Amino acid sequence: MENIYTLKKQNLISFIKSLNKSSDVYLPARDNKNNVFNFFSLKEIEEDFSFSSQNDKRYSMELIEKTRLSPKHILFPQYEKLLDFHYEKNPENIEDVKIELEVTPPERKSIIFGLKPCDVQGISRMDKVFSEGQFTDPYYIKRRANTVLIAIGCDTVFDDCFCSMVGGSPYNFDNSDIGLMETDGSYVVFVYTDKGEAIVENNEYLETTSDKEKVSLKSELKEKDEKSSKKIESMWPGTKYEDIPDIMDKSFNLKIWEKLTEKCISCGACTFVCPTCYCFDIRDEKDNKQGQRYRCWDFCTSYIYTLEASGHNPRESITKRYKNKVNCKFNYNYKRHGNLYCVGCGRCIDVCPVDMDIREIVAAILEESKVKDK
Amino acid sequence: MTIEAKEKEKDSIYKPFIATIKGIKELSSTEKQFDIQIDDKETREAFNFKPGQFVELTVFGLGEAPFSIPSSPNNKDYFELCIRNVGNVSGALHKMKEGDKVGIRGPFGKGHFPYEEMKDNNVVIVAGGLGMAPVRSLIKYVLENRDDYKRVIIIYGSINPDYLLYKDELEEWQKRDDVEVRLTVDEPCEGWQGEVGVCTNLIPGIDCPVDESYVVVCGPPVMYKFVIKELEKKCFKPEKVFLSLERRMECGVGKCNHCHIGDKMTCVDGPVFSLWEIRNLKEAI
Repeated sequence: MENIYTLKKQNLISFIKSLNKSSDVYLPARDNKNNVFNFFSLKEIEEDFSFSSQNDKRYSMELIEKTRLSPKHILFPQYEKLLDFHYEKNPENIEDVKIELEVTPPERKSIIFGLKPCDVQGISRMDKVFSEGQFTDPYYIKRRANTVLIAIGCDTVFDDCFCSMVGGSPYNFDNSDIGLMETDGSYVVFVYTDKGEAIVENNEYLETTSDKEKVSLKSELKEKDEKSSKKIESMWPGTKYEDIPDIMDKSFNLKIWEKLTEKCISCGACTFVCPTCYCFDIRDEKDNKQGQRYRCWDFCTSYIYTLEASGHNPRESITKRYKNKVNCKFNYNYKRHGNLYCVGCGRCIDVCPVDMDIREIVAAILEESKVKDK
Repeated sequence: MTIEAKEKEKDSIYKPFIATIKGIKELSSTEKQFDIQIDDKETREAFNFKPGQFVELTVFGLGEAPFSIPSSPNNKDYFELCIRNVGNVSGALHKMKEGDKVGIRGPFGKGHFPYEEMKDNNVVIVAGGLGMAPVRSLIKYVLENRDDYKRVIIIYGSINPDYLLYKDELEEWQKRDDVEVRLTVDEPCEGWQGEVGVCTNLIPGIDCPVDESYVVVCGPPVMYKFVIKELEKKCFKPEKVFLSLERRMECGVGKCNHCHIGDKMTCVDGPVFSLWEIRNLKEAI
């Protein structure tokens, strides 16, 4: 299924509003009061929201820059209740204990509007984690199945962008349901899936295109993709991204890891903003007889992440933990799921309090492994 | 399969079965045995585990922790757990009484001791400390089907005689002609008749042909490196040496990533790995 429409720029706002009627639309917005820039649910911020930044509303939409947090929290919330339980013991009769468990997977339909292609790639990586293997995660899958992804291509690339170094590109609409390409007076709307078609079908703001136009719009998309990609200069010249996992294997015991990782303060900021980091912790909260089991994001650079009750910790040093983080993204998950688990969004570089740059770390490893090979 | 199709699989992998503590027995000053029976009869009958697999046990309100199952898989009515009082969940569990309710998820682990493959071979068990718990399930199974296996050698080490688990069973096994039990402790007490030192010391004395022998190892993390070295000196076949690894497992279903070792998850790919697999895993030992 592939279809192409056009949307006049002046109709963008009405188009988004029309989508918000049947689903819950999430879009990238700045919270001007708290200086936060994330994906928000339009329904939640609507009252104090404007689509343009030229006004005094608290929230405004922003489509060019990438949000501070990745959109993963929409599908994989930072805190999520896994189950409720009710534990009651009868003091008169010890055999009489009541426990009720209730599992409540989410039900809402949603649309994520204005995703960067790297964010869509991030979501596709999450999909694999939660849906592949012997067990599938009902909470993620339920939410994901009810979510439509609308991406927007990037004409502007930023200093920390490196999608083309890890197999992506600024106009790569793989795994998107709908992709938007900005042109002079309008947006071209590429619909790739039935799920995408279902939400735009008969939309009054979209204009259909002829077969001839479709051909030329597709080639325009390709051109734009190439032009934007060229703006990103590789920091790993001469290395194909598919070769990195093997190089990581060979480089595992290199001494240089210690020097490269000593700066890390294990704060975990990089993992919280990362669109592919999926580690979580499971915790119980109890208030008298009522309780809940939650899961919340966790991070592998933390000392307690692998700490066992016995006191044994397989990754007690920051070198081991950071090396594990890099290998998780550039090696282990490639073997498990067939993709690098870095999509080149650069958020970790932007947010790191001690200026660590994952591109430079990988570059240093690639360089050192070449030296060792000689 | 697409995400949409998978959505139909509704059963939550995070929902535990309710189970009752049917019996509690002190095994040492720090370990207790809990007999756990799943309340729902149908679930109980469908609960089939293999030696080496584990369960996630919930103390409601405190959380979940993974424990391997030391009882025989032939025992269908209930299973046993051997739990050291060391963490939040195990600490709370040690305060619980018969009749108390817990939650159980599992059994988990694709990697288990290959008791079927081991048939017609010698079985060598090397256990240290609490490592006796996971391998006991295999020992039980092997002894219940004793004719299927050749020699059975159990090497078991502990800090001192008090810390040896399942003392009555050890005595019983020592009395049998068809089981060779070698015990060793670091700090012997008066009257101790076994060996003194770590269990690694007893490996050079294993005298069964390596081609027809399976070795199973479980113990504290520090033990593995030395045991593997000794086993390699004896030329045991890496594909016939199985080790049960310990990691911080949380979800048990391969999602939360805490227990991964390289590209493998201890919970879904292990916790039992062959030495062959472990050689290719980063930071496994």
